[in-house]
Amino acid sequence: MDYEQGKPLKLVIAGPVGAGKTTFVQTLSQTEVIATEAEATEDIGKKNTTVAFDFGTLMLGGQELHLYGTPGQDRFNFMWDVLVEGALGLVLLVAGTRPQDFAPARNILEYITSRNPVPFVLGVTRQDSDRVWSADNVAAYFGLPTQQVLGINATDAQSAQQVLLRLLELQLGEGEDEEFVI
Amino acid sequence: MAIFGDLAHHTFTDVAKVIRQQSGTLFLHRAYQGQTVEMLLSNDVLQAVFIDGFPVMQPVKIRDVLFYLVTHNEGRYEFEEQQVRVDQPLNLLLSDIMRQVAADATVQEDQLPHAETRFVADTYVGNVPASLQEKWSRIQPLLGAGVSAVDLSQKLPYSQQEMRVALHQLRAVGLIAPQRAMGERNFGASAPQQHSQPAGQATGRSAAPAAENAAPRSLVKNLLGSLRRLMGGSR
Repeated sequence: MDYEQGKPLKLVIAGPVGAGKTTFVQTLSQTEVIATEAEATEDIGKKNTTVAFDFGTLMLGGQELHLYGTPGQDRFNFMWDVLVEGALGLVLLVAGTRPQDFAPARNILEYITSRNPVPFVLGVTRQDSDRVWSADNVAAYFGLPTQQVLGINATDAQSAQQVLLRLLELQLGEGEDEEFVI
Repeated sequence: MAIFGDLAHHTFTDVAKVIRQQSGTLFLHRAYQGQTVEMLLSNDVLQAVFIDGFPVMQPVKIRDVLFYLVTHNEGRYEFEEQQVRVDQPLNLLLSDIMRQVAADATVQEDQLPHAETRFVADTYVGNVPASLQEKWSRIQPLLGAGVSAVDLSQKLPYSQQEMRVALHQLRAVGLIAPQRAMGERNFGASAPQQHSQPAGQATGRSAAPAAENAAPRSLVKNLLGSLRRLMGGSR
């Protein structure tokens, strides 16, 4: 993969239905998000869901980042390899209030990261809920180092930015011994 | 913060991995023959087990209860973190018992790894459970650079589904782990390694090849600096 100066970089945001991918892209994007939502044809716990992509952009130091929120349903598996190819990183989101989604999310993550050399972090959303799994416990479930898993609120800009910050820090080998609290 | 869920969605093996370094009580509602199980745990040491409020003292019976949990996958669970004090502690290592029962766990389709997910040897040091030794002796030499159920089914006389189940079981007892194509620590560069141990014993993780297409450090540094400025120097 060639990283050409000035060429937009790709950040992929994946995860199960209801994890907060659309919200995360909307929170992080500096431009209006192009959302491709449609009414769900099956009971997925909410009325609308992403059917193609949520697309937003973020400009950092003159470098444009393209944010792609991807559909969470299993039937879109075929797209994952293509999506993460050459990406700056992958952010996998799971809702800490929905432990029933952990196993499929772990399957998605392991499928992608065992086949594609893409840096990744795991965001555990809905940390403002009363009954929610903590980032550390989700890290234990996923078998990941704790510094690679963050508890976040996808509606909070600082929280969403911290995810990107951690993704970049880990690529440089920074922040690996820090307690991470948002 | 909480640890909760349903064994219909999480294998008990996974739940045990999450709670084993913590202290508290795990409640498993109607999970054992319709009865509620309570496990008092202190840093991987099982201190007491109750079934519908009655204590279970015999290690063999406790092993049977855990075996039932990993083979039946039913019942809601929640873990209450707290200091555990028991008059007559059992002092059984949860991870030891789990290693004995996990190899025979039944697992639902949605818990199995994707057929194309690649695995490498993990850091487990110790004996391989008897029920897995034959498959392990065939799979282990093929793990080197990472293998999936699809790869294994093409090289060994087993179906893809049988290999998905086997990979799940080998992972449950700590013999293998998912490969990270980015490298051993996902972000760092690691040299590939080969391991060759006799069947029945395992040690050492095979590292994934280092990533060849990570973003240049200068680019990442530039992005990181800009992001920190955007965030107002909060870190």
